[in-house]
Amino acid sequence: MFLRLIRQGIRNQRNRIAVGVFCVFIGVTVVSSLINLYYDISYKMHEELKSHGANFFVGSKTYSVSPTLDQSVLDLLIKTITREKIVAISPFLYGIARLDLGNAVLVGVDFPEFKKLERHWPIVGQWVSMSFDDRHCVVGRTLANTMHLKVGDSLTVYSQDLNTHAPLTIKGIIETGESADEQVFVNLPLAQRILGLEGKVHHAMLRVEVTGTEAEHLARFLEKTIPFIKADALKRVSYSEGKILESMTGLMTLMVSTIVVLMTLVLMTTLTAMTAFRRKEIALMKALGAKNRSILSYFTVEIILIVLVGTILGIPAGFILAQIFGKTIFLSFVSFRLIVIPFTLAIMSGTAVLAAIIPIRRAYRLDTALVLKEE
Amino acid sequence: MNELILELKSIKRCFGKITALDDFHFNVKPGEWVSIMGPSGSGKTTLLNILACLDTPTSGDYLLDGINVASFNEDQRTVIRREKIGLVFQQFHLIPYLTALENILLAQYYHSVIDEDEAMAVLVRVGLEHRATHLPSQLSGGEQQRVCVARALINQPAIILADEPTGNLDEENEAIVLKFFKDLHQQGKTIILVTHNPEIGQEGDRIIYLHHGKIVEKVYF
Ligand SMILES: Nc1ncnc2c1ncn2[C@@H]1O[C@H](COP(=O)(O)OP(=O)(O)OP(=O)(O)O)[C@@H](O)[C@H]1O
Ligand SMILES: [Mg+2]
Repeated sequence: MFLRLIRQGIRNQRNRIAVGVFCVFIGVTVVSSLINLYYDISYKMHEELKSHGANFFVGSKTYSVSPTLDQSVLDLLIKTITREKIVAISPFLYGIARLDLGNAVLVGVDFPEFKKLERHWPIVGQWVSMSFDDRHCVVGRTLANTMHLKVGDSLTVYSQDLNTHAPLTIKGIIETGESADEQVFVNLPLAQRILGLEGKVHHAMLRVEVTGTEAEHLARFLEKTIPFIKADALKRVSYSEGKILESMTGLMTLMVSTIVVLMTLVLMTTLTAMTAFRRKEIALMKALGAKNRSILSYFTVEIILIVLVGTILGIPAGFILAQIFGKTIFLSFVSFRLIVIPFTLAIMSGTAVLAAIIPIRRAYRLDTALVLKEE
Repeated sequence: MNELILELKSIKRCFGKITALDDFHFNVKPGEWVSIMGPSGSGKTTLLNILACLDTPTSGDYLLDGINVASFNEDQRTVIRREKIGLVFQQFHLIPYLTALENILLAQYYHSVIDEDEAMAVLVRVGLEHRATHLPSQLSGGEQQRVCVARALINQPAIILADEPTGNLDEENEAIVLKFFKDLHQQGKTIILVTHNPEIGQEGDRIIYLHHGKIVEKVYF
């Protein structure tokens, strides 16, 4: 009988129920897409920033323009930190080299490691893949533009005195928005040869698997163990990461709560209209012996059905919407995050309870005698 | 021990400044048929609502089968109502999306457990077995009221309260419905029936006339 009542009651109120389901559906679609987007983007951002970008700088204790560190310091670092913790480590050597037209900063790095450190730099063409490759280079975008260079072009790099030179092929052009855009990157041994600085490096950049304060501890530890170096944990990356996530969290919270409030109001209006429409029925049921509890259970089942159907339809739709957002705003596909389901359900349960309070109170307080007297 | 099935002791019911029932004393013996008459606004429906435990008096005591229900809360009144009282309304009050049979089952559902055979049997009693699956909108007024009577009977209440049950019916249907009340009276049910029709009023054991919330005249037959 209970099921029959529910079924017939729903059939009788199709339109209002449809409005309720639709409202939940829209709400869930937007809310779940935002949650999905948020979790996906923050997860990806975390992954991205975790595995790339240098977080450690090791230079000479005494500052000078000419490099004072021996390249053996890299082995020393690897030994001290232990290989497992180091994601990437590359030496850096800077110097002015001559090109066919003018000068440029020549940077010596260890390409396979350097690539791991700076993977987020967009590159046209490819990175130099081997450490011993002395025939290829990577140049910055600004330099490439001023010299009309393309990937595959050749470029000869000369020492200042023109005694040494190396004919190179451009393998890739990077665009960083930083000074690297004006530089020529080659493997360290070639740079050392051109610049006449055999065995020397200016500093090393590392990506070490450490978090928060661990990084500071490691820096102090390195400086103590290798007295002639200066070690710095770079906070810049994790700081900006935190900033972006923070503002994203704020924005998402704001949007989600706005939508939840709107949805609650619409749902409340719908449920109140449903109660008003049925005041006679409710009064009659009470007159026939229905306790408030059975009226309540009747309502509860209906609300749960509305919310459930809306949610079940809304979550896939929300995923599709998240894809659209992801494609247009973040230019990336969004993968489905399971956490969306409990999160959305929790939000919807809260919404349903809030939206139902007023209508249910009305049903409770209904003056049976009065309502039954109405024509 | 219970000489009286219904006993109202100095009942007062006010709606704001309006006093619908005033120092009202009223006793009904089991198996009695009392007709209530009086002009519009005299307090007939108010009286019936209190008797039906749909409403509570502002003051005074109401003994229903010896139990003082005047201070009962809503759920307690609901329980005692479904155990003891069958209601018939002037406006029928059938649920529009339930069939005739289902409307009867509903009363049974809130009372105990549903039993379709039993519900069908009361439909047979009011001569509507062939309309069991019809919705109220597909039934005539007289048929709807017969469904209401069947619904009032399904739980075998000792007391039937009817507020102008024939008010919306033509003479033919009025006669049919009236016949059910006579049958019920024969079976020993207590009947309280509000009516404007003196002929119907005379079917009872006595008539009480109300005016401004007081009994102004009693007629015994
Ligand atoms: N819920 C209420 N709020 C305010 N006043 C009410 C209420 N119910 C009844 N009254 C008033 O109480 C008085 C008695 O009303 P009641 O409905 O009992 O009359 P009645 O005898 O049934 O009239 P009718 O023959 O028209 O049905 C009337 O003056 C009415 O206006
Ligand atoms: Mg009345």
